[in-house]
This record gives sequence, structure tokens and C-alpha cells, in this order.
Amino acid sequence: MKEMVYSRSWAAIPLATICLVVLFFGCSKAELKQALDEAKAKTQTLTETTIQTIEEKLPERGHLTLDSTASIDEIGLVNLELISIGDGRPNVVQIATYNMGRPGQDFPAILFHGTAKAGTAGSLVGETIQCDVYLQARPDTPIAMTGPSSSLSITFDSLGEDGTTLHATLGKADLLTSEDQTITIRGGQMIAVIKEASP
Amino acid sequence: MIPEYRSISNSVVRIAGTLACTILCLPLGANPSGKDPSRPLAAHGTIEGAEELVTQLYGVFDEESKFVDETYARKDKPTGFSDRKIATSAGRLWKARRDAERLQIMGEPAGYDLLSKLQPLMSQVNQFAQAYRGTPEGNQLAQRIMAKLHREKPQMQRFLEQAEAALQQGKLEIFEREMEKRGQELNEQLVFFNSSESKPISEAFNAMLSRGDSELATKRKRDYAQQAAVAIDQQRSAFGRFVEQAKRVPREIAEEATAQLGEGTHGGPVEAFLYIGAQWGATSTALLRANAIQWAFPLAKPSTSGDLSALEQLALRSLASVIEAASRSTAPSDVAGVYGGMLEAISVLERRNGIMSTDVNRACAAAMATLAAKDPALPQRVAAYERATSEVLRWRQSYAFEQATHLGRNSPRGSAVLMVNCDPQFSVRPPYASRPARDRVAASSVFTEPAQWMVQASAACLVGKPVIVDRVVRLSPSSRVAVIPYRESYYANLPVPLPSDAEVADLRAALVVDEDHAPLTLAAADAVSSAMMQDYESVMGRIETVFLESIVTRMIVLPDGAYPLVNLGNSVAINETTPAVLQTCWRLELQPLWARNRYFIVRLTSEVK
Repeated sequence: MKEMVYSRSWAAIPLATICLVVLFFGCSKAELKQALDEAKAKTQTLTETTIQTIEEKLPERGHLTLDSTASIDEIGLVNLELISIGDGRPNVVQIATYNMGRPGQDFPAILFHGTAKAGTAGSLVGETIQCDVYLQARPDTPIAMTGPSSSLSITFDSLGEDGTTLHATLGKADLLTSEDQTITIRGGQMIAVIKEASP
Repeated sequence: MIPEYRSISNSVVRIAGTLACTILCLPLGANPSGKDPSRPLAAHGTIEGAEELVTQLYGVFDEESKFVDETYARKDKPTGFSDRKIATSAGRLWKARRDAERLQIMGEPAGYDLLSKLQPLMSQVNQFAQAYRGTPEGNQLAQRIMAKLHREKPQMQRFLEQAEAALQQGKLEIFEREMEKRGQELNEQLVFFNSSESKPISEAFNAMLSRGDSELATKRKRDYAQQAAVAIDQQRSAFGRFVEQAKRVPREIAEEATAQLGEGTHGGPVEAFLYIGAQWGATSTALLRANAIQWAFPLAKPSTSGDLSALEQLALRSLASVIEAASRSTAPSDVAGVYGGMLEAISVLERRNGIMSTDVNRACAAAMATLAAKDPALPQRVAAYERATSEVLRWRQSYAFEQATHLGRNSPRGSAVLMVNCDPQFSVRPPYASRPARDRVAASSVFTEPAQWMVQASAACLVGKPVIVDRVVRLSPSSRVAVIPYRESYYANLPVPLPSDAEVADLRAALVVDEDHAPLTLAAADAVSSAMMQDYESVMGRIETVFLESIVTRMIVLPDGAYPLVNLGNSVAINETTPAVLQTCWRLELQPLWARNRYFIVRLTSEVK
């Protein structure tokens, strides 16, 4: 989500300073007008630069649209990590719609967990992985999970423009809730933000 | 190079196989159950001859019980009674009662059960005799007997003088043998008379017998107490042997990276760790056996004390030493495999140490850090592994817990089921036996009447009921029996393995574990080892059979391999205000419906919802 920041008071300060300077040194009307025009132009440039900088600093949070029988349509938080244990085990991919350092705070909470051949998140493009899915729509609803013989496929289609996100397509899977109800995922689209696994 | 790791369930089989017992090592045909209520209460046989006497007396009970039932069925026609059979029965029951009292001195709970069973029989036989006496034939018989007894008075006098002499000379066994022979004959004759009629004949005899009995009881209590003390000390000598192992095994691991673990078997560090754990278990049961012998013989004065928590401290130090030793003799390239194997082994022992125990892990933490430090790549691997698996474990644990709550929503827990009141009408008593006035709890903690009646009533009340019990621990990786450890007068068992292959494979895949790659955190190790070993957090099962045992006998004959029945480091709590020999131990055999591993549920039937 982009945020527009326009600060009138911030741009107004240099104008006042210029006016003070002008008053002090006694500019002509034409000279004043030119100074004002120049000041306005500068202010505009500065403000545009500010907007751009703020846009760059705001992190991409990821996005998930889900086609499922759970009443979950869109989630605006998706993190992905690829973890290499380094002793010959397959690499683990974890994709979460919540902050893994602070579980229980963000809902709907979904974890996709699988293994991949790729050694880095960036090189996942083109790979399809099979995932266990863990899902809890709200804090008071039962947890659902893929059973021992079922898994969801996730195909990584492309890397985002700046290399910090992965675009992926979800396959189909049935999940079973802890109260034996079935939740079907028919598909979905994902933009996952790549997180570096902290040492 | 692939780090060396073998799933502990493979390695443990070799060692624990020598200690495991398939069905709790109970003698065949022992202990009454709902299916077979007339079986004897098992004997522990601490005193020589006790086991044979128990078997013999329950046999006498069965025979005389049959006679009493048959005669009672014809009680309206006493003229049809057989006076000879009544007399023989009276004599046998008199002798059997004395033997039961002797069993009580031998510390056998069966002695109390037998007495409570024999008394109603004796009462009935007396009534048959009185009824027969009222018939014309019976009256004549009585006159003949009394005449004979009067004639034989001088003989009796001489006999009693000989008995007195034997007493004076301290020939107590001879005294008893002769007096019992004569006493049995006397009772056969006197059963047809009331007490005022019998008194002139029996008074002197009974007085003499009483004196001898008193001396014999004193002597026997002293002798048996001494024998029990020897037995207690012998059990407790296991402690000293454990001390040896506790020192030797870590030393061998430090020097050669392998140790001798039992007859002709060698093993590496992880197997050595499990071996010490199994020895701890075996030594623990020896101390529990010793404690139970003391319950049965309160007068026994052993010269050793067997402290279960001192044993625990020693065991934990030894276990840590094995890991320290491994850190000295393991090559850096093998450290990861040993580390992972040790985590699994720690988790196995932890589950046998108690509910949510952390004692083993804490005792071994420093040694594990030393071991891990030998492989510079390991800490980073462990951190990555933790990150890759901790969320998975968190989700799976919550899910399994929710499932169990849902599945168990209508079912009671074990202790609640056993406290339910049972209608005593359920017990199949003979028509002449009195019925209790009101309901009793399904599983009384004391013997209040014959075990046969108690177990029948309880089984009728409990069998077929579904119940949830917490903590299921397999006796060994290859055992077909898992136990729910003893608590509040009962324990339970169920058949394993349960059909959890799909769930276990799924869990192992999620935790990135295979034949060559061990779990690298304790939580993951606990998940994998409990799944593969078939230890469970809880199980819901249908009660299939109910057994009634004596807690004293159960603990005296507890085999080494059944150590999971009692939490390691703990003793068995019994009621201090009731004699131990009168306290019960109920065993429930369960047919599982579903079971909860901390990280998954396994269902045994599609009916489970």
C-alpha cells in the first residue's frame, strides 16, 4: 500500500526563510517573484523525493488470495524462508501468513511447509514443491491440516522485480479440521516476501 | 561423510530384549479377573512353601465350595445328607483355616482372601451338621460319637501329656503335626455338637493347641522376618552392581568409544546410554521389590537401605558421564549422529522418569554442550534445524490436542470410572452368602470381601466402558505390551504396536528425519522417539478385562523389564493406615480406540469421531 505524504508546513519553512532574507536585503518585486517561484519548484521536488523515499522504505508485506471452502479470501502478509540445514538433508521451505517469531497474533494463520531442491530462495523459480498446510482462520476456530497422505503443490512462477518477492501458484488439497470437517483448497495465488533465516 | 546415526529403536532392541518380559511376567493362571473370578490371588513366595500352600488351599476351597453348594441345594431334606461327607468337610475346613492363618504370617495376601472365603463355608457346614443332628439318624449318630469320645478320654489324656512334653522340649513342628492330625479327627466328630456339648471333650485339647500355636507363631514371625530381611538385602544388592556399571561403561566409552553391554554384546555411546537407562530401570525394580517385601514383613530388619532417589542421582550422573566420555572418543565427523541419537535416548528416558519430566535433560545438558562443541559446524546446523521444525511441532501439537479434546468429549477419565458406584448385585455369590447393604466403588483400594466377589462386581460394572487414561509407556521397543503406569490403586495395559505407520512417516518427513539424519533438537527427538517407540500421551480404550491383584504381591514379583510401571526415581505410595497386605491393585486390559502422541492422533476404528 502506498502512502502519500504531503507536508505543507515542512515546505513552507524555506519560503519564510527566503522571505526574511529578501526583506532583510530589500529585493525588488520581480526578484521576489522569481525567488518565490524557485522556492516553490524546489519544494515540489523535495516533496516528490520524500514520497519516493517513503515508498522505498515501506516493506512489501506479501499477498495471498485463496480459493477455498474456508471463509478466507485475501491475506496481506506472506513471508517465505528457505532453510538449509547443511548436512545432506533437503532444504526446508516455510511460508507463513503470520510473524513466525510471534505466533498467535496474526489471523488467518497459515503455514505451508515443504522441502525443495533449490539452494536459495531466488533459485526456487521454476520449481514446484509439495507442502503440508496448517491453517487456523481465527483464534477461536479449529485448526485444519493436510493429512498424512495429502499435500498442496506450490509452483514458483517468478521472482518479483527487485528480487525480494516470489510469485507462486497454489494447487489443490483437502485439509481436515480437528473436529473432522473438511476444508478444500482449490487453488490460489501468492506473493511471498523472502526473509533471510536469521543465524 | 554421512554422520553416523541409527534410529535408537534399532539399537535398543538388542539390549532391552534381554530384559523385557512379554506379559508382565505373571505366572499363568494367577489372579482373579472378571472372566475367571475363581482364580487364586497370586503368591509372592518370599517364604519357602508359601506358593504350594496357596495353590493347595484354593484347591481345597474349590472342592468344599462345590460340596456346600450341592448340600445347600438339598437343605430342606437333611435326612438325605451324608454324615460322613459333612464330617470330612468340617475337618478339612478346620485344617484349611489354620493353614490360611499360617499363610498370613508368611506375608501372603492370599492368606486373608482364603480366610474370608473359607468362613462362610465353615458356617454352612456347621448348619448342615445341626440340621442332620435333628433327624432320627442324626440323633443316633450323635449318641454313638459322644459315647466313643467319652471312652477315649484316657487316650486323649495320654496324648495331651505327650504333646506337653513335646512343647517342653521345643519340638514345635512335631507338636503341630500330631495336634493337627488329632484336631482334624476331633472336629469331624464334634461338628454335630454345639459348643456347650463339645466343651468337656475339646476344652483341654484347644487349650494345649493354643499354647503351642502361640509359641509357633512367635517363632515363625521371627524366622520369617529374618528370611525377609535376607531377601530384602539381596534385592538391594542390585544397587552395588549398578554402581559398578555406572563407572565401567563411561570409562570404556571414553577409552574405546564402545563398551560391553551385557553378555557378549558391545555398543557405542548411544547404546551405552540406553543400557545404563535400562540398568537403572532394573535396579529400580529391585529396590521396589525390596520395599514391597518390607510391607509384607513389617518386623523384618534388613541391614541395607535402598534409596530410590539416591539411585536416581547416581544414574543421572552416570548418563551424563557417558555423554562426556563420548565427547572425548567420538570423531568430529561422527558427532552430529551421536548427538542426535543421544537426544532421542534422553527423550525415551525422560518419558519413563515421570510426567513432563526434565530431570534427564537437565542432568545431561552440560555434557551435551561439550559433545556438540567438538563439531564446529553443529551449532549452526542445530539452529537451522530448530528454525525449520519448531513451527511444525507447534502446529502439530495444538492440532493433536484439539483432536483429542474433541474425540474425548463424552468419555470419562480412568480414575473417575473407577470411583463410580457399582451395584453389588452384579457379583455372583452363593445363596447363603450375605449381600452388602449398599453400592461399593468399582475399584476399592482395600480387600473388603473375597476377591472373587469383588472382581465379579467390578467387572460387570466396568467391562465394555470406554475410558481415557494418560501416559502410555511401552515396556521395550519390541514389546507387544504398553502400560499405563501405576497410580491410585490401578494400572492398565494395552496391545501395541498401533497402526500409526502413515502418521509416523508423515511426522518424520515434516521433521526432515531419515535413517541417516537424526533430529537435532530435544523436542523433535521426543516427537520421533515417541512416535517410533509407540509411547503415547493418552489413550482412549474400551475396558476389556478387569484383574484384581494385591499391591504387595504385584510389587514383590515385579520383573526388571516391567520397570516402566513405576516412574523412575519414585517409590510406590500406599495407604499408611491400612495394612499393606490388605490393599488392592486393579489392572485394566484396554482395547484401544484412539491414542494421542503429542504430535498426532492414531485411530483404530473408523467409528471413532
